[in-house]
Amino acid sequence: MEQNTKNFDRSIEQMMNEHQVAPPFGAWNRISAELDAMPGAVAAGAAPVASSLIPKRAMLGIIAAALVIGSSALTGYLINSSHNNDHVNNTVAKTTMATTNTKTPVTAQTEPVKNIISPTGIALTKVQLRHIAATTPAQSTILAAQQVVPVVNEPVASLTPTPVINNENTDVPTPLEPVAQRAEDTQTYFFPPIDVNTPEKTAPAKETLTNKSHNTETTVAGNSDDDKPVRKRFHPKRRQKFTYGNIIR
Amino acid sequence: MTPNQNYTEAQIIQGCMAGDRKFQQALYNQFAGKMFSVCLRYANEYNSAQDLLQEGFVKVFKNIEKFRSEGAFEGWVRRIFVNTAIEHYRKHVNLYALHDSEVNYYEAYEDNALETLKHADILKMIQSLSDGYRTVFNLYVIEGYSHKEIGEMMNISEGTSKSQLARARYLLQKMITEGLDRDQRTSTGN
Repeated sequence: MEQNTKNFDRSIEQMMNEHQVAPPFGAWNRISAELDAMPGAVAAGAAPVASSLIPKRAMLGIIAAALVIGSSALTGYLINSSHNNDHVNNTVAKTTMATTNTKTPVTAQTEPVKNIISPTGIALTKVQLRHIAATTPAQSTILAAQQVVPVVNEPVASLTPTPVINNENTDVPTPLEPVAQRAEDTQTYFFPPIDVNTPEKTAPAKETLTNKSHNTETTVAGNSDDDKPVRKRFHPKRRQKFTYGNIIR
Repeated sequence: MTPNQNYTEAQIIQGCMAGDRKFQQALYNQFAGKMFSVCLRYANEYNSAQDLLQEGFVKVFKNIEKFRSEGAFEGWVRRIFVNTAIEHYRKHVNLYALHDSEVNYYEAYEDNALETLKHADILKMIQSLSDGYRTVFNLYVIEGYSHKEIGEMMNISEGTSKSQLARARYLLQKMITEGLDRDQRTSTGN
């Protein structure tokens, strides 16, 4: 029975596969019309050679490769430029370090003296050495600027020059007293300190103006300052001027 | 414009990949007869087969870029048409497993009965079968799929595929044996 079944199946299969049936008339026209209606359809009769020279996949691959190369080149350029910036910064830092290194021996020499004395006898600045680790070149410059601290109310160091007495040249009068004693006699000069932190006060001029305008009030209230507090009018500053600080004399 | 019939299969495939209508028509002329025969076996009438033919060729032209030259191009085209037919009838087919008692070999069938029949007659008999019987019979006997593959393709079990095939075979043998009366064959389809 199974053999009969197999024979039946085989004969049916052979019969069906051997024969062809002619397609209905106009079937191709309907298929062609449906293909034309599809989006992205290529016009009939187009030469396939142009598109077959470079297949779509190859074009996509070329475009992808170009994108990858371009992106890698861009990233490389950016990385290189950042390295250059770092190199410039490093060179700046090195130069600043070099300048500080060149300065440090000078300050080390002046450190025991503590006060730098100008030829005119005016104390300029008091140099203090601080060892603070600077992380960036900008910070190093700021720290270097901060290391210079102005001297406030410090007298000029007494001059103790060795007395010069030329015994051989008798024509030239020589001082009998040493110069240092004269210097002790003279008054010490205080260099006016500069308060950098507080801005320059422009108020005194305004105060004079207000005093003029309220002259009567101040005169009247002159005796009773404790009773009535002086009224002050505060005017908002329209423009804030840049000042280098106020010199306290 | 008549397409040049001297194109090789590779040229036709290249031209169809480029979307050239001339090569598409050449492909149609080459495979239309065979594929329409396939469509007639899976369809229950001529107009349905015509629709399947059109739908199948449109699918071939749309998906021809996916063809890799690993197997025969004709087999690839044929598979597309079979899948199109299965998709078309899957919605309408509601298959169920038959009891073994219902499936019997038609004992009166003679082996040489097919020799007296023509291709058109056998085709009509197959078309007269119900959708489920016809599809399973075509897939197993003519296309050569196993019951497991048929079950996966049609979302049915292997047992259902076997019982459907046995029933289709029984009905065909019965039709061939009994005098080839059309009215009688269509009445025994379901």
